[in-house]
Amino acid sequence: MEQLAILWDSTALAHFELGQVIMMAVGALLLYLAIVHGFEPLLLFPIGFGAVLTNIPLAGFTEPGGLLYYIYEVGIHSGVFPLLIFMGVGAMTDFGALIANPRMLLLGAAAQFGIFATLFGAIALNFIPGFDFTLKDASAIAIIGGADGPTAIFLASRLSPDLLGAIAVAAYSYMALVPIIQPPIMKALTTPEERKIEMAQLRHVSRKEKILFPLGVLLLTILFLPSATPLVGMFCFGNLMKECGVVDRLSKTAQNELINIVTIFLGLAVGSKLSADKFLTVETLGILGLGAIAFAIGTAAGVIMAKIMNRFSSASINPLIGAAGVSAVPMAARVANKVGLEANPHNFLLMHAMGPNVAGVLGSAVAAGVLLALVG
Amino acid sequence: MSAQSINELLFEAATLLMVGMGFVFVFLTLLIVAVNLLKVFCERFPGQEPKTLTRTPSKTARPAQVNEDKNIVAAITAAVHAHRQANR
Repeated sequence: MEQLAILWDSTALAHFELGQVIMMAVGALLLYLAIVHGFEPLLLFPIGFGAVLTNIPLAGFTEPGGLLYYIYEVGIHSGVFPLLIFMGVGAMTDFGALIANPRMLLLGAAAQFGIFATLFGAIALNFIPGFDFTLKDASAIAIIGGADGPTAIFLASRLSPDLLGAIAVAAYSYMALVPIIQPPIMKALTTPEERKIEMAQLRHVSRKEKILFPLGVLLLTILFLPSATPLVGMFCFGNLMKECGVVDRLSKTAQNELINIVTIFLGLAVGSKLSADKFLTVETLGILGLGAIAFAIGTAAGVIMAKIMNRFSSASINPLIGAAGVSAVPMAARVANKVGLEANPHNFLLMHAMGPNVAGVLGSAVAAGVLLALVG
Repeated sequence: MSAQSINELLFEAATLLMVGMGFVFVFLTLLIVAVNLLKVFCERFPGQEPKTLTRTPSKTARPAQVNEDKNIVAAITAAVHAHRQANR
């Protein structure tokens, strides 16, 4: 009889807590969204599975000695994984459209308004009892508005590791929801005539310009915002690898094998932060709400900026491409293209939207650098 | 948290909003200037384009060559066939 009791005690059934069951269900929901609906599957799948593993009683995945504990410490606590991802993203990014029309950088800057406005909103939530966000927490939450997964995880790991799970899940969920969140805002802020505006074809960009561009970006970052150099530096490193053409093997590894390997571990490590005590709080609900607001404000700011630029510039600018300023490459650019095609079936905005889209990546990295410098 | 300390935090957040957006705009405007300078520089000193460009045509050339080989094989096969027919 005593042995039976010991046997019962060693099963998970005897040790399940309600929180763990709920968090396993959350993990299963993420798996469902990834597998059945294809929501950012590359990240939500490993995050969901990591969440299931983390909440197994007695297994101790996230205690010192556990697998996910080490993956988290090595990859995210140190800040290494998001930076490696950023290198791979750099190696996959083509700045041609941006170099051809550099004014698009202003759209990438305007869309970062979502980040800073949300920072304000997160602090204002403190008036509601139950919320207790410090300036660091608020900054880490606000960066969801940058619509850039690695940037959000990097900043959260620096400023507010306890909220990292919720922030990463919110960031990637909303990136998957870009085609649903953005179009209503874009349509509300533009007239059908504005949506029909066709843009002049982009000029050819020489290889030399593409090679010098990442070096120029890096130089400016070194001079004016050294706190952003981890992000921007790795990004430019990856981009130069791709553009210089002499290290094709390294560039291919960064864009494929390396980024895939890191993505697996990054997802698991984020999943390891989805434990009941950290995730099942009223603050998580606040973070999910604030993330959606950040996205919406960023989109609106980009569209409004594009309208202003269209009024004052000689070359016409379709305001829809302003929405692509919230990075989320290449989803946001595709959405701008799609909404443009609905208004005018002969108007292909994809290449024009790629400019503000990659500008948004730089913009959110700069915003992250500002927050690190001022709050961190 | 007391309302007063929240108000202080809100003030700080508002300052961050101004400073942050201001800095992002200034930085990316500088980048616009830099990209335009880059364009002028590249137009003034065209130099030679990096030579790795020559590698790409060779990749596209390969399928063409395979087609050519196929054509040659087909021609030879037809010739042999005709020769055998004639000498039967």
